[in-house]
Amino acid sequence: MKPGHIGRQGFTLIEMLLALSVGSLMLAAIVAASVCLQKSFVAVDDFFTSHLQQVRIIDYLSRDVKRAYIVISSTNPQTVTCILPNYLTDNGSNQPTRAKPTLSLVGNKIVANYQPTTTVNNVTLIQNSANITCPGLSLISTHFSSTNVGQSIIGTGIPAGTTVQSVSGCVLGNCSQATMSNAAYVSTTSADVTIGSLTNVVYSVVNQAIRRRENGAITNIAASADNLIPTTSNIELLNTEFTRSTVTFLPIFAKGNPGFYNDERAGTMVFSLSYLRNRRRGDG
Amino acid sequence: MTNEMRVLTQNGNDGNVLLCALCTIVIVSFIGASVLINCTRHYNITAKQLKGWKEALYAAEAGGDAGFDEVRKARDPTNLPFIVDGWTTAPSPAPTPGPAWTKTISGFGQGANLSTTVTIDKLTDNTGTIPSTTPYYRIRSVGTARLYGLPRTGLSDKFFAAGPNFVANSASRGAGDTLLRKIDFKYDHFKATYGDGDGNNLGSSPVPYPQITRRIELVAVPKYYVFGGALRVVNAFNGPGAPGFVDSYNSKNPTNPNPSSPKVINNDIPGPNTTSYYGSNPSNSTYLADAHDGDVSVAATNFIEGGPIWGDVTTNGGNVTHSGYQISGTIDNNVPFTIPPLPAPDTTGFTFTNPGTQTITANSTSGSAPTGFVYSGISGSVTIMNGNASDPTFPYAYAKIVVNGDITGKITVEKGVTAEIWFTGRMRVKGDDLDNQNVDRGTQTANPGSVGIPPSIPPTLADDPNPSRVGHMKFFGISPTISGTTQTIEIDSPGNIFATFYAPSADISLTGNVDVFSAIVGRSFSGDGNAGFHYDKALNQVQIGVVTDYQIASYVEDVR
Repeated sequence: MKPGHIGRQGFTLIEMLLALSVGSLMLAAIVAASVCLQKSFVAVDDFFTSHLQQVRIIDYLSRDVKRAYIVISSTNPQTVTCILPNYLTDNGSNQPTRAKPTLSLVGNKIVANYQPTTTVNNVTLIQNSANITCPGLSLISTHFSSTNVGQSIIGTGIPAGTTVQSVSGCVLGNCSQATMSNAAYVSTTSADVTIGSLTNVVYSVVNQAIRRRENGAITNIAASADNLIPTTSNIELLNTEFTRSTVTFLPIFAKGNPGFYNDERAGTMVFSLSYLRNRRRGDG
Repeated sequence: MTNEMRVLTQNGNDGNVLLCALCTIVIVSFIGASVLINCTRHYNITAKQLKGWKEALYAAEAGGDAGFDEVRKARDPTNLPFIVDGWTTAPSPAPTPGPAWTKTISGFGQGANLSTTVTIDKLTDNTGTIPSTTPYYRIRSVGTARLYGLPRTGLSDKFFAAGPNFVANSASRGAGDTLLRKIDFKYDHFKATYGDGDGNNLGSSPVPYPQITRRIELVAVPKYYVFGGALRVVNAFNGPGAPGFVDSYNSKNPTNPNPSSPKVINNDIPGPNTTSYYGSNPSNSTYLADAHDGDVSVAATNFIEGGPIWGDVTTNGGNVTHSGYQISGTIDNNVPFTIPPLPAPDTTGFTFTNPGTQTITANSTSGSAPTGFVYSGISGSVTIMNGNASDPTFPYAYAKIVVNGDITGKITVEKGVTAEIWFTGRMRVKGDDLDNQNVDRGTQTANPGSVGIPPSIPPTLADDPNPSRVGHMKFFGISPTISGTTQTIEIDSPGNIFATFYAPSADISLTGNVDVFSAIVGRSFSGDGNAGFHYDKALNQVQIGVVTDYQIASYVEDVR
């Protein structure tokens, strides 16, 4: 019986090279598949995460628009500014309490206020001017006063976040003119303005994120949804106002022609339509 | 022939393949598990938490609607609110100043996962915006939605800050969905932190299952009637007389050529002393925009027209058309409406006046708290004086007279006085008997002084808050309390009339050659002869003190 040469047989060079080649190809395929799978997973995860942030932004925005007195939107820069009633009273304990509503007249309408506010009727605004005037010496209920200094002032044609800097033309405490911190962006007469303690909420696009600021303090609501296209419609004939907003983002797997990016972005659009339930409707 | 035995041996290197396969399976499993976890998280957030968050608002708003619907019943004396249908008095301590009522509606939504609790408190205004006798209501509603799915998936765990309470700011509360959705997994964060919302009754309150709650607050304020058209009647309309017409003007319009004393002299010939803005002279385009709003509304089919109507006409089932009638505006024969009966006002604090008293003085400067007088009837002559006429800043006064009987005598309203005259009986007068001495757009002017007397310039010159002359003399017909009884208002010539009439239960008739500057709400109306009816559009912005409904004046969401 001849002993066998088991275990001593080697591969030929050809076999070895062939095996290495096949093995390398298989390994490369596995690695490539893993990388692709991982990239795909990351892309899908990013897409879903961005989508959730879109929804959250829209929910925040809709909530703020619904309870706003005034909403001003701008497409350049892309911002939405909401003027809200100061419903909560900060008592310093980080546990604010609710304010009691009081009533006042705006024009011929009864409105509710949560913090002391005053309404001045029949004011005149001039575009690009910070001066605002009223017939304070002829109508008993419409004038500025020294207590207005430092308070927020809101109304058509007045930029959001504007405050009263000073008052003048005062007779027995009734002042016919005030100076605002910002210039008016339209000219108007016979307008109504509300002065008092109010809350400003501003949505804006900063780098690749949409930022919400409430009285200047940042609320982190999203990190990657990066495009806000707001539009506010104020249809006086219907005595109503609503805000249309869309939020988009660019998926990380978008590649190729930049023109393709727009299509990719458009495919991620989330849309909302919110009516101002709290809009002041003075018609005097 | 060689006969060699073949011995099979195991090759130790074969195990590598198995290891490689296992590793691949493990890696793929990890990836698959990650994908599944991610999908579950997204599914929970998008399908469960978003659904719950939105449904909680729907539930809260449903509660708000239920509360508002109950508040609106307050205008119907036969259907008092807050006593049936699950409403109960709110437990102590009631929201200040109270009283308050509450109701819980539960078990609606998919799988009965939604509930809402409404609390309504009755408030009174002390700013003079509305009379203190008329309440307004704060409606607070909490909507709760059960949260299905795995708890805490994808949410921050930063619920507890320090101590037993939750804290609402983003630094301690977390960010993103945690800050926005405020899901209660084990404890009601709101009750623990804010108690009833005002810091009362703080304490840990376990929740039976994960939930999302949203809170809204509505403020319902009274809605006052304003005259939105010339004539509004429930039962029948027959007018104006063939030579007459119904049209409109606007006393606030500064182009009114003669606002202090509108005269009806030859309407077809414009001139300095004529009220040429009437619809009878449509070629005068200067006042055309104000001339064609003499609207007539009838809540029945009974509509007979004599002269032209410069305005819109509505009926309830009538067959009015442009071809058969002289109507300048639109016609709609499908407009039903009701006018609730007018109850007698509260006369607490009023002065009971001898029927022979001919002069009374109004001193109040508030339309919501006028100087009050009570008469048993007016058959002679009554003059309402302006007690503030010499006031340098506000020379105007408000009076409210309640007549528990008929009006058949003369009533004079001095300049600067806005008078409400409420009466229970019938009214039968001539146009001259209703002497309204006010003017349109009353404006106080500074005293220029005279020789030897320095000018007296008031510190604040006050325009009359009520721009309409007509709006200074307002008649209210109190609905009879005996069923089947009808009130009558009969006005005859001579003399023009500058007054409004709100008498939902009265049959109103104008006869003779009178011109009426007015707005009328009644049970029926008839006008014959050369009776011109001129509606002052400024009345559309003057509340007449009658609450007809409630409306939402504020909507706030409590985002804590």
